[in-house]
Amino acid sequence: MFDAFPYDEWSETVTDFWTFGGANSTGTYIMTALGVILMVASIVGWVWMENTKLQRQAAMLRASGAFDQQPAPPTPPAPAP
Amino acid sequence: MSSLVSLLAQETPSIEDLAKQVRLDSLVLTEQFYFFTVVAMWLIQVGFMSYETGVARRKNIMATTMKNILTIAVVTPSFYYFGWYIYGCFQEGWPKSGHDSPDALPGFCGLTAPWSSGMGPNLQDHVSLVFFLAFLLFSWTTGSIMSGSLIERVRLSAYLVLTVVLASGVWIMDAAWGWSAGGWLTTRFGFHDAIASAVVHGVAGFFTLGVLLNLGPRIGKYDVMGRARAFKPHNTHLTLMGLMLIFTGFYGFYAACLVIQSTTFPGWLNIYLSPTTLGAIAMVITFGFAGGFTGGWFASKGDPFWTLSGGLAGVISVSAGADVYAPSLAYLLSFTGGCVAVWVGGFIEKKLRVDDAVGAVAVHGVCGFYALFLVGIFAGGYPTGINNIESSFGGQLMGAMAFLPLAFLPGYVCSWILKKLNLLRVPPEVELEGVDMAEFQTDFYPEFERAPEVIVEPDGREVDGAEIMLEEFHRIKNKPTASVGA
Repeated sequence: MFDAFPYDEWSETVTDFWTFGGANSTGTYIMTALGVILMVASIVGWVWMENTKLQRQAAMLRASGAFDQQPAPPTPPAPAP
Repeated sequence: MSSLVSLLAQETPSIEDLAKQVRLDSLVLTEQFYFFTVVAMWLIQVGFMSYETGVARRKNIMATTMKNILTIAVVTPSFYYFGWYIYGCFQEGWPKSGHDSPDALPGFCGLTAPWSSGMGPNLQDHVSLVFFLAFLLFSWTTGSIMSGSLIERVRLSAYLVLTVVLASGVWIMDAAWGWSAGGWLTTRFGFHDAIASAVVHGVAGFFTLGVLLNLGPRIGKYDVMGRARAFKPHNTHLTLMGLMLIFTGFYGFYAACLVIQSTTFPGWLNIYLSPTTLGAIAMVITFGFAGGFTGGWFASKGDPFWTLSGGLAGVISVSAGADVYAPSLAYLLSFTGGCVAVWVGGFIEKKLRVDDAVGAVAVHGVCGFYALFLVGIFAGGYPTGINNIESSFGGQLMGAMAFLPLAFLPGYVCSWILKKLNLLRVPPEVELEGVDMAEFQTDFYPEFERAPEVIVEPDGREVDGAEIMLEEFHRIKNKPTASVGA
């Protein structure tokens, strides 16, 4: 049963093949490059998307006049109780 | 009968077979051990998320939570693509002999490249991937240490950029130098930081300080005379539960800092390959909490937040020597660590006027480096690493001198660049309204009526925050050069 399984031969094959290509092969380099591109693009995307949301909300709040009301003149701090 | 004897004889394993089986058992044990430390360390992330979300005001809860969750999304690939390679190849400062470097673990450098056989499914290697995962969880932790300090005004995307720099660049470089068997600080100076007091906590804390100097305080945090106000956390129970989860996860963190070798006496080594035991470090962490809670309680006069933060500070203060400290020594030193965190936290907030929302600079940064010097004093002379260099105050000082600029400068410079690009801080209008509305367009407690925001004045009075916030908002907007970006 299991003892008949060609462990050494099979594991060598898996190690060499390694899902897409062997270690240090063209396949692994391509996968690495694609992964790095996705990682960088997602970070740039986060920055861009958030900036858009924040600027839109800030513009909406400015247009609404929600913070236009001038506060009362500052009062001196009360003495400690 | 004779055939039965013959069959038994055939099935009797040879010494070589037994040795082979023992080696395999040992490898599988090692694999399982690191796997379960990773599971336990997830609790640290859960804890930081709860802790920081509880501290945030109601209007910023999801923006705070998402930082902790997305830490995993950005640090995992960045640590895989270049962080782990830094650890494997920069232990001597700069790779000297290609992928055979460093000499302490020949070939380790090459295994840390993302295209190596060590980073994929490999029946011949039970250890590389779980070891990588343990380090990845340490990396997440460095990001989470920073995230709480910046809440309620930092942009999520700015935090993510900064956390990539910290978690996949800065901390892992210092780990290569001073938290590895081949690190130049250890092999040459006997630098000893067994459970990463400064390597993880101290460095993350001082990176955070660099960021906070550019980020500035939350609107309304300081009055016109520069005195600190306090914001009411929206859920202190959640914060304290988060801290307890962090403490639970710390047992996994501590265990993952050891190297397990079940076939060789004494079975456990610290990260420098010097002998210790799992029991020794478990005792120190437990006494560290006990002493830290006590110190935090008395130094803060019973403040719940600082009592629990004192426990964290206590553990961090004794982590550097956790492999060699006696329990009573850990108890005494962690008590001082809990006190130091409270006092320094107050100094940073009230005197330096740096708005660190969760006290991370004091708890992680200052106590992390404090721990280094405690090792120089209380464990001086202990032989460390493969060269058996004795730990010393000078060696610890050398480590601190290397780590402080390595931590602070990237944090300051990167946040300065983001600030200049107006990408560091949310616009002041958004900050006043709450970041959740801008980011997610919803209130995350819809079934509860909004109560007026309460601010605690420097003299202790609790007042309605709306007028104060509006006043501060106009003061910022009317400044010729606004201290708040956007």
